[in-house]
Amino acid sequence: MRFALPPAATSWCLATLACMTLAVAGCSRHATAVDEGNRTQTLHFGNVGEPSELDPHIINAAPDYQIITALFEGLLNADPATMAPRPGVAETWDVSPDGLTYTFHLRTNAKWSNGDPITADDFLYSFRRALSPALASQYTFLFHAVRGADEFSSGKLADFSQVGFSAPDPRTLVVRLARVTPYFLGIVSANAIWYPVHRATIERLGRIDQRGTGWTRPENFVGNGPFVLKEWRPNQVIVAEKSPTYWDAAHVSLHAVYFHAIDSPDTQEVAFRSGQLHVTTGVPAAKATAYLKDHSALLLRTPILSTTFITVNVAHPPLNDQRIRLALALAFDRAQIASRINPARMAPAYSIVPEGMPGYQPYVRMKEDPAAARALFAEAGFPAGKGFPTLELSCETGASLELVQAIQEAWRTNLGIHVSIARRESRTHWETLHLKQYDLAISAWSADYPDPSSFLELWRGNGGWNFTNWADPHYDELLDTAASETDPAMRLKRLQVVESRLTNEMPVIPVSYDRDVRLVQPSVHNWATNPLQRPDYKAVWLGAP
Amino acid sequence: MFRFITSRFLQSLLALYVVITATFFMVRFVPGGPFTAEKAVTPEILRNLEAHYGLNKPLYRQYLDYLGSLAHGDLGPSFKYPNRTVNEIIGDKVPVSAELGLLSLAIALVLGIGLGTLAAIRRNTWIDYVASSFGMTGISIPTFVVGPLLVLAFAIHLGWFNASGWYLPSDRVLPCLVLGIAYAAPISRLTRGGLLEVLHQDFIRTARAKGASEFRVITRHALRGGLLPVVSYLGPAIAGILTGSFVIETIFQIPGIGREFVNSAFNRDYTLVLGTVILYAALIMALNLLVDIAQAWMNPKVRLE
Repeated sequence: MRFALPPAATSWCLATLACMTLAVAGCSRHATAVDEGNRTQTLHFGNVGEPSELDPHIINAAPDYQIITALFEGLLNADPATMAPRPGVAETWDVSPDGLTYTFHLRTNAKWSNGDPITADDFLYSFRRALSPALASQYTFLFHAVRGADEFSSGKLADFSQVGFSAPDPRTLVVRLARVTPYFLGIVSANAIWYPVHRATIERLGRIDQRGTGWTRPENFVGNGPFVLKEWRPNQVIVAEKSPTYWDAAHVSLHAVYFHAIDSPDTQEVAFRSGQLHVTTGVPAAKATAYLKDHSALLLRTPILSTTFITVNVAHPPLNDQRIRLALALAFDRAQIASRINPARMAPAYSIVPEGMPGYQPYVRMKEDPAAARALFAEAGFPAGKGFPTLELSCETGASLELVQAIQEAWRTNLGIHVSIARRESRTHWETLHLKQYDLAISAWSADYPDPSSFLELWRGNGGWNFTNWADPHYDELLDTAASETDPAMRLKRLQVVESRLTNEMPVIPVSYDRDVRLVQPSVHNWATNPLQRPDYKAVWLGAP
Repeated sequence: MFRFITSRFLQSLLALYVVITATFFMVRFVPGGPFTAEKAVTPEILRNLEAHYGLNKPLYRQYLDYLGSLAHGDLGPSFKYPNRTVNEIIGDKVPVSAELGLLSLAIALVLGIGLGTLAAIRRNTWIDYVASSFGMTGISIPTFVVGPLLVLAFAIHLGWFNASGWYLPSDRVLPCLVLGIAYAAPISRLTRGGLLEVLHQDFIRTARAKGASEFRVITRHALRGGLLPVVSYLGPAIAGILTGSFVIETIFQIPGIGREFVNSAFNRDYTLVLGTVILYAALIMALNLLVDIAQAWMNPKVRLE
């Protein structure tokens, strides 16, 4: 049997079809956000995701740090290229001859975004807040050089006036250290926990040590950076506009920065390609290789102070044998792995402290040597890998599976051993590391401040990040000796000795030095990613390539 | 009818309570917690954080506290976003997912029922083959393939739409189309199957014998029975479509609730996990009830009592 649609329905269908055709024909290539942004000096930045907070004393994730440098300014700024301390709210600073007292002289024209002047008391209030136990800031360790700071933050000291901060007058801030810390200015210039917060705003909305009062919402926000928060649409966009009250506003070219929260690197890359973003954060590995080959002018690669390595649980035999750990380190070809997996991002690493640490030459003991690795295995009682137990190599689901498989394969070929791969979701992975229920794990560390100690201190016997079960009193002693050295050059030499101890014992096996990889439109000028990945938006301007 | 609805409502409340209780305890027994991170926090900081969120109390106490606040409609603070409450997050994101969902649903219904009906009435013709191929293809090709393909064609090459974002009305086109097609495919197959079964029944012959036009036979008589499988499918499907799609929201960077289902579990954001689960469970229950009522209305053989 045949069915026919009545004439009315047919003409309705035809009309719809005609409308759709017209609608599609009416579509035309529109001006992109990048074109529009170039015209209005509005930077569209692809952030890795939604920031958890914009409170400089609470933030703890990568997306937060991409924004915070636009909204706040500390005593000092870090030079975008060299990371050397540059004036911020402090115009000048002096260091006492014994290296224990730092005096910061604040500029007279530094203002909050509501027009209030910034005083030394604001800094005292902010540091007291950051160190308050109830605020539970996770970065209070970045105050550890300051006299009494650890005691105050752990609740052992209740009187903040006993902590080494004082403000003799509204323009002078004095910081007294517990011990000589040559990298102290590096910590101050690179970390948000040293940023000031606006006292009246905090107190209007809650207690000094109260979390989540909503003071960072656009309607309440008061900051002191080159930009001020105007709009925050969660999981969508954060808009920061140029602050007219900023002391150096004359040198800020951008009118606004749009931080688009885009979790997926693939989505970021597509948005960049379709002209929605000026700058991305990261590039998917496969696409980075293609950009490197065909559009390298769009791909910005900056060496950063970050190393990827394998953490070894030395309590699990036979990993308690130093020869086994050394052999594992000798038995995979880092250069080949890096070039095969992600040449844009990875560079072969033979030390834990990455290259590019100011004034420091990393200690390198070994290069790959499969024959030597086999000899060490034989010496340890596992000739050609015979009798070697199956160990587990753990990583996060976010880690590169290709990297883990390449190492697994190299160990199988060169040592005749089999390691199984365990990929776990991030928090489960970190929990197994914290509980030390793993054999080998892919890890990475990025420096908090530009000094080798930001890496080497991790493996102190009682270190909170030392998951290796490796506790070496001699290593701790070497660290103490280096820390008490007052001559900066000699101190760095001593740190190299510390690193040599670590490299010889090999509780952590270096794999790659990491680079910051991002796509940048040709219309973006003066973009600089510093080696601590703290972007500086002040100098950026948009214009013809 | 009233008795049926009241009894189903009470059953749903009980089921919701069981879901809340099971979820509350299950998330607590997952390895890792809201403050587990690469950089381990010191025991003192952890104690202070736990005290702030009440995690230092015994578990049964936390459970009773949670039920207490829930009774007042308070879903608690988010662990991941200290600045925001779960109520706010859900309140912000559900309208976005609902907009995405309703537009997609409209596309899915028009396309699915239209194609399914055409396929059924033109059975074994090229129209049927085209419609059935669409159904099979739509079911087999996942949204994370269709999405990027449409982006490549319409956003990058033709430049008609933005590749991602949820700012302009035109930003709705691609995601709604992808999600709509994904749901249209099974709907078209169910419609075709349902209609074919009904078209051979006596009451259709009677309708024709009375001289009703084919259009009327299909729309007034056949579809009412033929759409029953679609309606049963739509209950859970609408709950799913309204509460967002993780894949679509990620590909197109849409600030909907779908991503929170997944991310809150990864973040061990206990209160947000519970909030999203409660939302989803309540929607499923409400829509299943609606489906039962709709089916009774469409099919006289079904009685609610």
